[in-house]
Amino acid sequence: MGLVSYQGGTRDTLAANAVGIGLRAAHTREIMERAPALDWLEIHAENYFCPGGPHLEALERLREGYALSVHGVGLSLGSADGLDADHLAQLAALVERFEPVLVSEHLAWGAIDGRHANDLLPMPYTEAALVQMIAAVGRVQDRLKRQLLIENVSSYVEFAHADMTEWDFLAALARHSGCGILLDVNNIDVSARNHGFDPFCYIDAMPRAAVAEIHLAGHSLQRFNGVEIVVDTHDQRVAGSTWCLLRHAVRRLGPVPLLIEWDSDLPPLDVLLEEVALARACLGECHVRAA
Amino acid sequence: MPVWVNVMSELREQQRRFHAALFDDAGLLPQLLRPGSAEHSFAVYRNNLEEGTRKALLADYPVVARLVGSACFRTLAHDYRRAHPSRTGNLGTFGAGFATFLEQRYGTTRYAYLADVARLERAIDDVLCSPLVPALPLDALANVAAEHHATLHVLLQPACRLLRSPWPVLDIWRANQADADDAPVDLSSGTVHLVVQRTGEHTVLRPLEAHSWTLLSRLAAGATLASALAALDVDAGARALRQIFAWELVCALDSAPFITNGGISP
Repeated sequence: MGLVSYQGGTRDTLAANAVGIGLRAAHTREIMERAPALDWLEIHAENYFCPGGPHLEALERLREGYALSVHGVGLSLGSADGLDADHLAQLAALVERFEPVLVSEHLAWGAIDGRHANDLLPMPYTEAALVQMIAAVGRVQDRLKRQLLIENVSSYVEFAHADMTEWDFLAALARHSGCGILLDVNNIDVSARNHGFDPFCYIDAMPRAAVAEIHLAGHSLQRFNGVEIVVDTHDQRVAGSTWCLLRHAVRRLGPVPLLIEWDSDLPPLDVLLEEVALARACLGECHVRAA
Repeated sequence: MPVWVNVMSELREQQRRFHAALFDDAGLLPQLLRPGSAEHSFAVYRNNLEEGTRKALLADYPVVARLVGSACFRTLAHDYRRAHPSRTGNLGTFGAGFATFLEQRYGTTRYAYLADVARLERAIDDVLCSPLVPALPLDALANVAAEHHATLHVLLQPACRLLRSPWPVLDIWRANQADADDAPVDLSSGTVHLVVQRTGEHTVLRPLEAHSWTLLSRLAAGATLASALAALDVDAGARALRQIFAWELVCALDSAPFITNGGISP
């Protein structure tokens, strides 16, 4: 493969205006052959929890030309079970091997009493849950010896008892644990429409210095038992409402590395590159206005 | 009682009730979630659980899925998840027990071959997740000192798996690939022995003759080369030995006295 020019940073750093995509197996060969102008690639950590194989070998080749970020989806940080030591060890080994520029996980839980839903379930936004999350994030950061970014998730239900809003919970977590924030503006869009809160207030509540990455993805409207629900499907282009939130976020926070995610009904790579071009234009437009 | 214990028990109780509604179809207690459309919205999580686990199994066992059809596979995935819920945050490991589950369900029926088809698909996945170590040539045996011959172990590639089945699982697997012709599979064609190995990005599925199976299975079980060959006549042993080196299945030679003396290989 040819080496790309690092217009958005280097293999070890990301510029604030960097734009990347989530690496999916179906696109790996084409990215190696075409070497498109992307500032970085993000992998799902658990897809590489294996001792060897073609996927790991391809990733070794890709990291010669691209910065990487590692995005975990299965650590179940918010579970009262505490952390799975084996899962954390595998994550640590992956981080040590590939030296990513960013490592992230979710403001979520999935397992209790050892049984895993393998989903990103919403937290109760209580003092008790905050204590749990701060401890878990601290343990991960101690193990990885680096900052972890925590991403807000899409949600479809809310716990009846809450001591604070989700955005206050996330900001408090960053303040007390020292973690960064991976702000998923699509997830804010989805949750705001499902629960009826103001998504702009959410973004305004984010501590500027803590937000180190932004995620963008597509969602869809689905009917469950006759009720329409906005679902975080990652199966289509970024919605107009989400681009609107992104513009607000960039004006409020300044340029932040952006990542396009697409997981289901994967389109040709060129469609993702078109979304990348839109994201670059949005960053440029908002940066000029802010200046 | 320490504050920490109270904190954890409150969170654990909330998460247990959420999981009970998700996994065990327990009703949502009104005091757990905010009122409104919670019952409808909770269906998203139930759907995620059902579809997420079905897709994970489908990715691992596409031939089994094709053999039983989508409706039956959906039922199998549901029943498997109920019997064997995921125990790790890595969904890639979820299907590890699927072959045993199929054996328990179909072992005494005319669909008994499904379990071994699943084992073959699992073996293919396993070698695609295993490192490929440079293979040794047959000449490497000539460099082993005579005093180590009796205790010599032949180590096989990490990226290879052995499979024996009373069913023609290789023919079944091949007949269910996208480019397969419509030739019928004879289920009574007898026992098959296979080695599944990775070559670069791809897998190779090789039928084994009985003598090669004997040698490989004994070596894989930890037998010394001398004792594995003792089960074969001299000519068959020599042919099998040449075969496994030619197929690049051997990645190291190790001598037991060195293993027991600090783990240092000669």
